[in-house]
Amino acid sequence: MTNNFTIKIDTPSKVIITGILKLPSPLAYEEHFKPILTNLEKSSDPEFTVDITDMDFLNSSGITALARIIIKAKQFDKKLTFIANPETAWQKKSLLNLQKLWSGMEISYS
Amino acid sequence: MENTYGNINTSIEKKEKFSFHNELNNVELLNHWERCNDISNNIANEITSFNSHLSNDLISHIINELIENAIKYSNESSKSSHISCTLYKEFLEIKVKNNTNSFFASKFNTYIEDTFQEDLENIFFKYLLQAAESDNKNSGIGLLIIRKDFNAKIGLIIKESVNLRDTFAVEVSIQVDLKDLIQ
Repeated sequence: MTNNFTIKIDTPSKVIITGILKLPSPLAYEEHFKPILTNLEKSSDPEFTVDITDMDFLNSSGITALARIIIKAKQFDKKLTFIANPETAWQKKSLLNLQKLWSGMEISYS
Repeated sequence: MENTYGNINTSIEKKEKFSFHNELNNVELLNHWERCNDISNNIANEITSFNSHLSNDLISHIINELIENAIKYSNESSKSSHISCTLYKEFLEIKVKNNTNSFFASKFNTYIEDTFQEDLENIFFKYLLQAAESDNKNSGIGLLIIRKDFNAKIGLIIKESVNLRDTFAVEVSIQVDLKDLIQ
């Protein structure tokens, strides 16, 4: 299966996810998202940022994968910020849903 | 056995503007998963060419979830699934049909009964949290997202085949008001 997305660990406390995320199950995302979860856990910074500005598409399995990042941030009590694109309609809907998982999550529009 | 669920509206006046039907090759899509998204984009492009106010992005999102579910849960002997989209003056109707086995039909029945009983916001949050905190292979939030984020009406028919062994025909219909598809 070809991947049309990239996950760039920009700094120990910031990750940039771009492209089209359409893997068939939350399990299929695990290996790709593992470095994000590891960085979130190990970074000494009390804040963590996930930039999805250039994420064009995310299916429901991918939403679950993002939810796992939020649960991890909650577990380690780190302030989590998602940077989103105000012009990508699904991003706002999805992030507002995800925000209900933890009040420590913030959404910032680029 | 035949079970029907949902709140789809069959009595409203329908003024059809555009209709589209596509056969989906289950095996091809299972082996080239990214094509689910390509097909969704193509159908969304067709629809928005008839109404440029609609968001291609949002329509593609809905169609992709429905196609992914149909392909994921089709039984191995079933070669194809079907999708049809009809654009009416006030709403978009999408129907997806596939064949599944008794295991998935039973799981789907339980899922539908569970998700139609409770408040949609609560049930969505429950499934999202459950999916995030467990190692479940599938999240089960795709249809809930369509119902919740797009105020979609939904109709479901699960019917056991008389001729084919361990085969259940599943039809998922959704109706989304066009105002919920504008970015």
